Amino acid sequence: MIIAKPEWFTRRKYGGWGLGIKTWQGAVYMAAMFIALIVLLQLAGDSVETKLLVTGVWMVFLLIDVFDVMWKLKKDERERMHEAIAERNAAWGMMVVITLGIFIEIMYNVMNNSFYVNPFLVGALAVGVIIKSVSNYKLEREN
Amino acid sequence: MKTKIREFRKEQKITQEELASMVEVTRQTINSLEQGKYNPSLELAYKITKALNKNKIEDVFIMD
Repeated sequence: MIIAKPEWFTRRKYGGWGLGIKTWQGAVYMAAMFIALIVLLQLAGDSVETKLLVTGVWMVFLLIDVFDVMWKLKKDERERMHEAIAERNAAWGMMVVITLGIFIEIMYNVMNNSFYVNPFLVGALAVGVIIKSVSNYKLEREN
Repeated sequence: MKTKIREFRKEQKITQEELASMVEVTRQTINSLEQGKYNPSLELAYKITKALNKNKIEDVFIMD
């Protein structure tokens, strides 16, 4: 099931997360994946449900491949340090915006005599807290 | 931290790319080390010292 090779891609440093294309094989792979999706959608006929199912399966296939490549991509110690600092800064930025969002939402709802907080926003912060704790616990035990 | 990587590398006619491959890092990391921008781990300093056929880490890396 795993087709893409790590040497075809590079870690995306600018403009988000994921993979960037490094070699022509990577470009061919991406083009082939999108052509495959178009062909599969054509074969799926007119049924919206079938098209959604086909797109879902295609997406799972692509995600497995992308995660496999990301896992296998080699990084030296300097790149690992850069990545850790960049990810930490990104996490702080997102945390500040989410916290501010929750605060504004609470204030707005209180003024309208209700109390509602988007569970996804609170969930995002809670998941962040759990992941940070687990990571620190694991790192303290390992080194 | 200052280094003599560039000097020893030129002496032995090794390119940045070749040294990077010998110690399993990117060429950019070797360039950063040569410019004194990045302080390596002890493991990397040791690998580079061995790759440049030097005996002591302090022959290659000099603390400011």
